[in-house]
Amino acid sequence: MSNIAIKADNLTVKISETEVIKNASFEINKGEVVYLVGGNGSGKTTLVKTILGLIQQDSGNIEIFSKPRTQKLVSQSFGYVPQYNQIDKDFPITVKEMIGLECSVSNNQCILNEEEHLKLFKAEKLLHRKIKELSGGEFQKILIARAMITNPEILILDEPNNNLDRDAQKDLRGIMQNLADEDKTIILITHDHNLIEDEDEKVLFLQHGKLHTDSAEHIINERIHF
Amino acid sequence: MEILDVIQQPFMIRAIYGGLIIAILCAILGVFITLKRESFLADAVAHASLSGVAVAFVLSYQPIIFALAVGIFMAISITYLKKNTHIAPDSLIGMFYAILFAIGIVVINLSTEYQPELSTYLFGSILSITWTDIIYAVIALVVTLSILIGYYNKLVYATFDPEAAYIRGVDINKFEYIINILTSIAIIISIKVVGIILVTALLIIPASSAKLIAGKFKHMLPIALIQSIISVLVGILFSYYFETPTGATIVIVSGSIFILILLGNQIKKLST
Repeated sequence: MSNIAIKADNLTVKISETEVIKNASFEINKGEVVYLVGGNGSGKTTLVKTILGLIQQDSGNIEIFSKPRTQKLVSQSFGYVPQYNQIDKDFPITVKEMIGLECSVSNNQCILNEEEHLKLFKAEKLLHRKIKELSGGEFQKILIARAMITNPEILILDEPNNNLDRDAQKDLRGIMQNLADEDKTIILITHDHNLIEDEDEKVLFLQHGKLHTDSAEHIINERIHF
Repeated sequence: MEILDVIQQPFMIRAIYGGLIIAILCAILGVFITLKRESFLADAVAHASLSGVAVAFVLSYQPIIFALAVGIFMAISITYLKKNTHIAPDSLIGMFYAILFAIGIVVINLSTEYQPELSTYLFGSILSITWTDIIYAVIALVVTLSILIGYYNKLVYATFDPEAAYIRGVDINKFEYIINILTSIAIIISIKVVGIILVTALLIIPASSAKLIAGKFKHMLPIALIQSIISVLVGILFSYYFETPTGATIVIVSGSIFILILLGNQIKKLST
């Protein structure tokens, strides 16, 4: 049985006639932690949204666990933490309602209830708070908790350290470590090379729409800035 | 005349039944349209329906059928083009609305006969509502409630965070079409109550009031419903006693409730 979680072949994505992703090919194995790095506007978010099917590629193929990507397969396999500012914080909804929605529409079962799940993130006190009352760091934590409540095989986090203080960043690293120990596949999008700690991890480096595979060791040692 | 005598008049019974059904219908859909920040679509559908009404008058058909056709056409076209072109949604809506409204004006001008009923559609006339109008409103409400009950969580998630909803397997395109089509139907059916020019207020004001005070999403619908029903009932009675146009009176009552809530909200904020 194949060990590949995500496989992309010759992926090209155009937005308003501009090629944002150019002929990208890569493989991400099960249980791998992969950093997707690049400067602002380099196409990192576009690439993950294409993997998820939120943006349709103009050419190329995507396979998830060796099967052609479908919405059903995405919903069974992925958890996604979007960038903080992509959600309308003015929406009248509580943390409990927000996480409850994730479970109620999901094909995957939520093993824990909202409160028990939030305890894993030391965020149970936020359960009944309105999302507009949360600080940036608190909301980021809730977004991460929401993405993980269905216990997905693959987790994608888009700039997860934004808005997190040092303690929360440390907590996040602990959570990522636990997930990696559970053999989950993790894709971390970042423009902050300081987030990359482990020299053994894989780095996908996007520059002007072109994807290069690099080693974390190289990025760390050369202190490459995106 | 005593209030009990007034509300027992046949035209008033029809107005109250019709008004109540339309108040509920608009409050429900208004919550979704307001939270999706697509109030402009509602306004555009209302204005564009003038072309359907005008063509129906010229051909001597039921205006509501033609207006419904225009409304549904507009909802489907805009939703499709928004998803399949790179044209900004507000530009798309602005173009459709202007073109269809312009067609309405031209058709009315070409028509040689004077159409007194046209003002009913422009400014509304709930007191002239018929049982047939009420049956249309009941059908629209039953369809809307059935979809709301059947797909409540998916509709709410697709409205709150469409990307997360998609990743959890929700067909967000389908729900966008459904909400936009139902909203168009609700607008067209409500035109007789407040008219093309003011109908959007029935959708937006109760939902906006509810958004100001609702702590949870599940409180939004009941608050919007209460405000909508009070506005329509009080508006009908006020218009009868003060002999003012019913549609405009309903909108003024609704707007006044919104302002009171807004002021209360601001005072509460300042005092904490």
